[in-house]
Amino acid sequence: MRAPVPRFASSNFSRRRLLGAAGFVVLFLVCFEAAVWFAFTKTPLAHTSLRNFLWYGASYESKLRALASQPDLPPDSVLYAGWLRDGKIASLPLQADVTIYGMSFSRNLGRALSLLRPELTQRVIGGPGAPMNHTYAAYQEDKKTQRRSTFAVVGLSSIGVEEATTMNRGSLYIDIPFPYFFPRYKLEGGRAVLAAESRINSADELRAAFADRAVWERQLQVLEGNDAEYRRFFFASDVLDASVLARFVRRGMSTRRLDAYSDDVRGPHGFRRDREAPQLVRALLRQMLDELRAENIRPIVFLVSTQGTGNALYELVDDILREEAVPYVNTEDSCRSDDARSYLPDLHFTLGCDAKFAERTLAIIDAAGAPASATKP
Amino acid sequence: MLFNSFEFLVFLAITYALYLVLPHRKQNWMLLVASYVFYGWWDWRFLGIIAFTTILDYVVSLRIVASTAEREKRAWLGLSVGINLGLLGVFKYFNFFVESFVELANHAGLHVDWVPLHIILPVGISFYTFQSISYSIDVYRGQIAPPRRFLDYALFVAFFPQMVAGPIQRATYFLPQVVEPRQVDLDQVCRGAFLILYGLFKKAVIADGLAGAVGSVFNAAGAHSGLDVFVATYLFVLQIYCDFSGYTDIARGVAKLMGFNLSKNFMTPFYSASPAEYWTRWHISLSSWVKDYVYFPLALHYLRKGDGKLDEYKPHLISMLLMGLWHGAAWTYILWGLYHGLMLIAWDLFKWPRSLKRASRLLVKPLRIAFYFQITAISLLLFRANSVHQIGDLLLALVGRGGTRGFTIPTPPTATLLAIPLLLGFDYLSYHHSSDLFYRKWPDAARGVLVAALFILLLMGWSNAPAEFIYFQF
Repeated sequence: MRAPVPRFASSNFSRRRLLGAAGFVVLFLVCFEAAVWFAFTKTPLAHTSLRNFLWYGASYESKLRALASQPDLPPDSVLYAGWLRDGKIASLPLQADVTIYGMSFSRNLGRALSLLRPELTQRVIGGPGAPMNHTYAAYQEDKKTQRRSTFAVVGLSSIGVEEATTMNRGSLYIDIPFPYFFPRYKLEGGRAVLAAESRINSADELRAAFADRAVWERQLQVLEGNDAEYRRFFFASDVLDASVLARFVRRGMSTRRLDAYSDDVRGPHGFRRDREAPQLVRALLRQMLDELRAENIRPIVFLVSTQGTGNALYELVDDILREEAVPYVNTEDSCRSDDARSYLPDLHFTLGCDAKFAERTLAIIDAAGAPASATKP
Repeated sequence: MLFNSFEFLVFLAITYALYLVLPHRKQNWMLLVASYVFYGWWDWRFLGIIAFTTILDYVVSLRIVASTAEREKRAWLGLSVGINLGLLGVFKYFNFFVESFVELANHAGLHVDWVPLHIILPVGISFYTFQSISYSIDVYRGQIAPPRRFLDYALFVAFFPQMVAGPIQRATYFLPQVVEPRQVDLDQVCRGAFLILYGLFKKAVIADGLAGAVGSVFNAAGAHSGLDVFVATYLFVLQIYCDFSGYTDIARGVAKLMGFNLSKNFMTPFYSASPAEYWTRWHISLSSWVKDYVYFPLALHYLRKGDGKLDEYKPHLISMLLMGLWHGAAWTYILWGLYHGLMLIAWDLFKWPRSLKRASRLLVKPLRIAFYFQITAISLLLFRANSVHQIGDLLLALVGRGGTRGFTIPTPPTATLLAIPLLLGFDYLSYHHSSDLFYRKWPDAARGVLVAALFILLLMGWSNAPAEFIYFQF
């Protein structure tokens, strides 16, 4: 009779050697943790870009706290950017030829417009990487002022579409802090209605919340209850922030979650119109265009295709643009998103591209009968 | 279900736990079910094709053995090979051939209209079809007998670690491992775990990390500078090597955990000094398949014909064209195959001077390796290009014509840049020792450092955008 074969046999491989090697693996991992901690907190390496790389996976809250705790931040620091109720919108000039809403791409368009036609007066309202819900909310805040503007550029970026269901950029992107919060809108009968507002609406309120755990926890509860992409594991600080290996794990999980979510919202054939975020963007855009016209302000839509997103943004809203007969500037028409030469290393468009967008914008303004101050000298 | 996904981790954990507690026969049943779940994860409709192929080839193999007349055996073999290639032809090449025909007809002034059919390409069909064909041929040649149980054969075809992207297993090597009870020991588990770690490192950290930089040239519109094309091609060499060999390492590692030994698919291919050597180091399972079932029979045929030097080289060309076509229905792959076929012939025609051969190996071989590496890199440019037109543009840019100036390729992620030297070092030592097991002779501390470094870099690179394995499309 054949002897039964043991299914998991010990072999001549040395168990001692296995344990020895495993012990060394653990030892080296511990040494790595200690070395990173020491080198990047106690030496000049703490101020290098490599330090940023090693801390990308820290929770979003820990990055916000680190930023907010820095003394003497310049006024153009990201800490102060994009807030809806810090008084900045109200302090803008009341009269301008063009009000530009949106994100950094829109701001760059404004700069290019100034270079091409310095006499064109502008008001610029936006936040870094701001999605459409921020833009719409910023417009609502702006409406409360007694300002006058002949034209309004509505900036809309392809990367911002997926963020339309969030209340902070950190709900999807944990690498770099963008502190400002914005409202959450939800669809009701095809219209976007305000569903929740942030409890923190300025850099001062953020600092105050960090000084009072209860206030901050209440803010997290607002996000938990309304922000579709908020996950406490990625957002709120915890003990894992102290370990470089845990930070790597968190960053890996975060980017994979983001990729999966992005792929779900934007499939191989463009944005999926049965997903909430694209639907919200469409509704918010349509509402903003209608409201601008109701105020007798001429809207110009600025469609920004971020690198590698093709013409999906235009395809998402082209029917709205046609139905509303709204002039638009599509970056894809001048600088293709699949051409790396269109972009700077920081992923913004080159100055040459910005100039092309500005020329097209000016052509629309001129064709529409520009106000006296904005006409060509 | 990708090897570098959370779903696969859960799938493997459940499968392995069951595997360890089941007796041999039930292990095979469970592995077959798991393999079909794994395959059906992409699209359950694919299961019908693999089940059909499996039943067909098993029945045919029984008929071959039962047949007494050579003619009858040959007819059964013809049926198996014909149907397998027919399936491959329909799913993989139908549109390509018809489109090419229509184009040709239109060039000739005949106006032919054609709407391409929407045929989904089943994942891994080229791999398991070739594996199945080799089984039928081996049974016909009397090199192996059909297994007594259909279950064993079905598992041989569908074994999940290697089903979708190889290595293509030979029945003579792998079927006995399925049929006989397997033994899992600590040695294999450690080796398997290391292969999985190293495979994930290659795939997630290096291949996925380089995808963006490579795509910035090959997937982008507009002209590129020669420097862009040069760097992107080199990076693609690394990307595809890490992608494909990473998959193979994980497949071999997972199989080893269960006591199976899959054949090797790569052996430091970029240390090849000639085309003949390259094809013993790169995608070994396919090149040896083509060598055994296409090249040798053809070479024998032409030898018997004995019509001169030209006939001597026909098997080279036909084999390599077949290899190219195996990869996909595109002229770029056919060009790639033709290029390699011509290289084989060129190397054969060019005899190295005897004095050079004898000269210091240290001095001459590195030069030959470096030279042949450039040949390989160009072949991979052909392989990666999206069209013949793009090949022309890229080659022109390489020689400084028609392209632009400057350098636009984005810097790969930090983890990838840190990982590449480790990969090159590991490959060099594998080449130097003629074995990728060299590290096992190292002291515990050194092995500990190696594993810890791979682990740290894997965690670091886990944030690279995950991409499907390149060879899944074949």
